[in-house]
Amino acid sequence: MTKNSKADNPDAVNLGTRKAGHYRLLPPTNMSRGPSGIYLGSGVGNSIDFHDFREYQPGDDLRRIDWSAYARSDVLSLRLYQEEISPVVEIIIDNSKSIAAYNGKKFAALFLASFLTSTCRQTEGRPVLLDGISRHTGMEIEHTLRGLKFNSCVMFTQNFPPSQFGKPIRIFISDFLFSHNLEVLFRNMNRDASTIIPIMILSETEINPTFSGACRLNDCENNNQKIELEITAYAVEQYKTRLSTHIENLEHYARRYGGQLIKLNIPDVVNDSESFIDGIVNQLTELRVVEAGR
Amino acid sequence: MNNFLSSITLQNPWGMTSLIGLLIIIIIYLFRKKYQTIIATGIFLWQQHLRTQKGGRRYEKLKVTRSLILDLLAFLCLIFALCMPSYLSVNQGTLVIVLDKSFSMQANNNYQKVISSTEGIIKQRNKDTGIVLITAGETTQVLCDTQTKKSETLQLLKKYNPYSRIDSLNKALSLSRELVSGYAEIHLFTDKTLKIKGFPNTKIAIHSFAANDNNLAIVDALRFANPNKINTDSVIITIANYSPHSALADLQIAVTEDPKEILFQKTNNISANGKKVFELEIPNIAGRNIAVEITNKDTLPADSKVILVPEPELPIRYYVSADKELKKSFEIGLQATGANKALDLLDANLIITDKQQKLDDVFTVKLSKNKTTPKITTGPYVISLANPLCKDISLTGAYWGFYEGLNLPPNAIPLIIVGDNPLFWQESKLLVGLNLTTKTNLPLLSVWPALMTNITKSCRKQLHGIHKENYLIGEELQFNQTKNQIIKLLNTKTKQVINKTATAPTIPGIYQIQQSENTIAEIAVNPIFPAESNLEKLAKENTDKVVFSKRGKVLPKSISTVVIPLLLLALALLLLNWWLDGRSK
Repeated sequence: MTKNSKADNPDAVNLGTRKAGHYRLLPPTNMSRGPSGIYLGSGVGNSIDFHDFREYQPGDDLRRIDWSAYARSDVLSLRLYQEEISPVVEIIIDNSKSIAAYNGKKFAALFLASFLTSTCRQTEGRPVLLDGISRHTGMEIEHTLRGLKFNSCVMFTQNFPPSQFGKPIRIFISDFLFSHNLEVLFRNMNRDASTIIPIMILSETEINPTFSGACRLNDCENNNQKIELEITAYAVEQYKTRLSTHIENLEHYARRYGGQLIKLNIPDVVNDSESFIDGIVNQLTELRVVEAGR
Repeated sequence: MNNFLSSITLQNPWGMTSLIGLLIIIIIYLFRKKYQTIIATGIFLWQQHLRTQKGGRRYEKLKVTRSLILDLLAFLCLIFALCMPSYLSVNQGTLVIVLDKSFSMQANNNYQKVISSTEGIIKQRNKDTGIVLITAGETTQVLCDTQTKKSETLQLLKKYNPYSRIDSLNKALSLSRELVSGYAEIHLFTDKTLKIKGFPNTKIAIHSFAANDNNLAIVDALRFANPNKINTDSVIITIANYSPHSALADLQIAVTEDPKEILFQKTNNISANGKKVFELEIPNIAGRNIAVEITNKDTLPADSKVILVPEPELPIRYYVSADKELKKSFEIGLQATGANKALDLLDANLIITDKQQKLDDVFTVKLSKNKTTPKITTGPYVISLANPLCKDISLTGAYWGFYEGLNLPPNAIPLIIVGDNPLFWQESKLLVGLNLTTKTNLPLLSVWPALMTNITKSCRKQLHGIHKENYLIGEELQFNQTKNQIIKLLNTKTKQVINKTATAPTIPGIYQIQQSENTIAEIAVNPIFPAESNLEKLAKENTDKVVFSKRGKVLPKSISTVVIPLLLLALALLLLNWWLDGRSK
């Protein structure tokens, strides 16, 4: 049920880049490792913020010895300061066919990837894009997004590639409409990550199905999988119940692994792209994305 | 539109019973799920519902879908094709106008009304419409035929002047139908009471100028036949053709003075038992019209009529203008009908008109009389395939007349001659068959038994036994056996010893002729009616050697022009439905 719209990949990517000019991404406080930057990490570093004391070990920098404490206690101890790091944000975009089933979803996924990439850069972070099989960094991200095709059936549900820059913030943009083992999925997603942020994008029709009667449902990713059933009001209610259960499970596992599921309701079709992206950004409050100046 | 619909006739009206199939299709659709195809993203969320919904099927209101409509339309086309509709257009076919030339038509200046009415009818026609103009007087004349131009026809029409005496227009009517093939529209202008023989593929319009009550009887009769179209000036009888394959009339409609005597009956109205061929050589024939006029009609038996020999394949070839195919010499076949009476003799005038000349300038050639004794040639005759006489006989077909002459082999004896041309001949003891065409009209011809008799008789000259194989009841049987031979004639019920001659048994049937316990021949003793012949039965059982083919089946116009397009349309609709279904999936 792909619905046509004039909006395409470059539109969504450009809008994401442009919209991100007003926003920046606040990294989570428990961010532990990463390349040096401007944000305090959980480890010991070279910032001016005091972190802890510890006894002197041979080889330690003598400049860090707290001589006042030595005078008081006659024990050599070091003053430790917090490290300053820059966040690595891994943006994983689900480029399976189900995202392109509705143009609004596809547009939203591209916009979010572009938007988060730019906001990450604005906050001295290092964005990395994973589009299913390969890793992209720098300006290659936008280029990849502009030409991204949503025809894949492979996702990092079993094994996420290890990060090259410490423990990244892992943002997973998907509709999560698959029946994999969610615990395995989130455990894998959380491996090597400082935090995980699953973003679930669902179209209006997926949330509230409008079709009824005798229907033949063809799986958009698997042509051989089709079922024939009578869509009644009862069937729709059952569907909604199962969808909400599915979402609750997603939230549960996201919380278990230190993350938080962000659920976005997306219109099926992009009619007015400005209001469309405003609607998306307004739903990102839980993502610690703030307007510049706040 | 109404005229168009009324001109459609169904040759197989029982096909309409198939309409019940429409109901069946609707029921099938009522109980068949038409699935709306949807591309789903979270199909696993629906699959659990599938397990719970198989308990029963909910009633579903019939949806008038594109698929249902296309299926119904396709089925309607099939039904309509099954009914074999035929469409007869007013402007199609040949227009035949028969004008009463009797003195009585001068009353009230009727003949002038006839001229103006006829002019109106002719002018309404297309350029391509063939028009035949016939005047029925003491002699029936054909003023113009289908080859004559329309303008010339109108000129000839002005020559119409009633000054003759006639009692009946039947001869002109018969002639009018013989002149044209296919669909014809015949307009009769008369003040006479008519007894009309109907013809297939014919629409007859009677423009009655009846002046008294007796003559009005025709109108009464017609009112009975067609109450909606009564008009004393113009009455139209449309006769449906229930025999589209036949060029002869299987259906007769008789309109008589008694309104109750409207007869629809199936009958073999053309059955002849005599044939006469006149020959005449005419120079410079090209570009002229030729008509045959029978002048000694009074000598015919009372129940006889004279018609031109119907040629199934060449219906008007001997009659139309000669500028196409006629050569210097040609033949005209005449055939008389009458119950068991042969045509004795016909005096015929051959009238040759030149298109460029007036009718008054026609010249007449008197044909020579050639009286012959009529033969009783009624059948049927049985040819036993086991009989060695039939060896190598092949009767796969022949045309009567108008084929190139053949050069007989030396010492060949012609057995059947058509004109100057031998049709079958004998070479020593062998009969040679000619395969002139894949179709044959021989077994359907009334003279067929006579042909077969000639063959068998000539073959039997050198063999003992009977001269004929078929005999009428009571006819004398003659045998060529020697004195010592005893021949028995027997069937399942009777047994008769025969000496030299005998009388045929009185009980119809097939009899074996035995000689010394060996069956040497079969004879059939039959009533006269040819339908009781076992010729065809024998042919079916032994089709290897002797082929009695039926007349070549003529494809009716309705099949080529209506039925086949309907079938194609139905197929196209089904394909379209299938294609659209495939796309929607």
